[in-house]
Amino acid sequence: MKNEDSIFNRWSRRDMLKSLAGIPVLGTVWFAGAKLTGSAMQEKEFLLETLNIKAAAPPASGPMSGAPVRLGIIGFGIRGEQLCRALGFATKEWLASMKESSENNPNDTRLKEFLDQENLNLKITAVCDVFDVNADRVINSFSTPENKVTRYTTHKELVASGQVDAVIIATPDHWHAPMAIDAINAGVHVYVEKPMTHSISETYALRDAVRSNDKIVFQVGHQHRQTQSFLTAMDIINKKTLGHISLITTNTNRNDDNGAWQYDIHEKA
Amino acid sequence: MKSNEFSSGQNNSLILLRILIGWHFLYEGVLKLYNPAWTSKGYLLSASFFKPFFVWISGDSMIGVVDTLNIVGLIAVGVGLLVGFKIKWASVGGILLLAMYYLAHPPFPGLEQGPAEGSYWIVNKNLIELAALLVLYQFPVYTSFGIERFFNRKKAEPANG
Repeated sequence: MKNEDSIFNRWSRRDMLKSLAGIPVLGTVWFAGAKLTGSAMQEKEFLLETLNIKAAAPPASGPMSGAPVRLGIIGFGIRGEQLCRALGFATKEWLASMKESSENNPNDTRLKEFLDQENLNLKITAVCDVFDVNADRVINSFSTPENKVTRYTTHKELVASGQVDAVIIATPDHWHAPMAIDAINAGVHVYVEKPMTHSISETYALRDAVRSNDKIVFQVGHQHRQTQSFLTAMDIINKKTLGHISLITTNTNRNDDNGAWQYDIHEKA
Repeated sequence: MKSNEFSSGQNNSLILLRILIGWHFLYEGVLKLYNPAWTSKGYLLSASFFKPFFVWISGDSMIGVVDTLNIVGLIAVGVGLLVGFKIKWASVGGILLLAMYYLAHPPFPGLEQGPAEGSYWIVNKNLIELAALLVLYQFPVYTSFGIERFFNRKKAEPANG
């Protein structure tokens, strides 16, 4: 009993101080770490606020109510298939290969990410592709009992069919402008892959078509421009935060077969 | 109050080592704790050794737990060494953490070296700090300058036994 109580008697004040001396060091290091982290973040906030830079989020997608948008696919090659997936439509072949891949590799989340996409309330009603294999894949994968995808042999028939509200154009480059102009003049909304046109005169013709059909939504597939970093950069440029900008240079390097769009030719082509 | 046969110079050197390593661990942990954007994902994904393992623990389902464990581990080791509590446990924890940091990016010949403030071949500062913690584990650095002595009264007072 005496021993239990005697800790403070047996130890001198010096011993006690020595025992507890680590605690102020702990407090100092903790305080320094917390304060430095906080002030670094405050400095960033302060800079953004002073320069009036808003990290603008991309606009939210609109209400998905009402009748589904009826979509025609013009060109269902590699890019056309990717765009359809972005809209929520994957071919049976792709779904099967992703299922197998995710079963073999739990890190492969491509299938899950596809399935987690929001529903954009649209249906694919028509396809136009000169290559039978591609057209058949659209029909086989995207047809439903209520909605059988119709194949058209020319884009003109497709846009004039009355079966589509909008088209996606993912054909070889030189077809982009003529098809887009035909679609617009038929009163069909257009999402056309880049490059928008193949010549300067086409560009003027396409601009005239868009301007004379003001109910048409016309989009070019430059997705980066919808991303937060680009919107923030636009904000900075518009507010002249960096002053007058007279030159912007960018580089990209796609130094491989895929980057040069060199693909294997399909055996049935 | 000396309970071992070390000279005070030897004792104080060990305590100094303990405080410096504790300081380092604690500061690393606190910085990460107060920075919500911090994550070990980049460090793990760029691992040059045991890559499948480090990439696995950097996956979306794991990274939250890994980051939390890392922050808690760093702070716990730092606090333990600084205030002198459960020093042996803290040493083992620190050794495990340092072993992970070392193995993700070991300075082995032929492996790509990330940005570093010095030049290393097989031995780098992580490994040296790890060895220093091994020293702390092996020596009775808890007998002074630390609250552990409150819990080691009998050890500290052999004469009264």
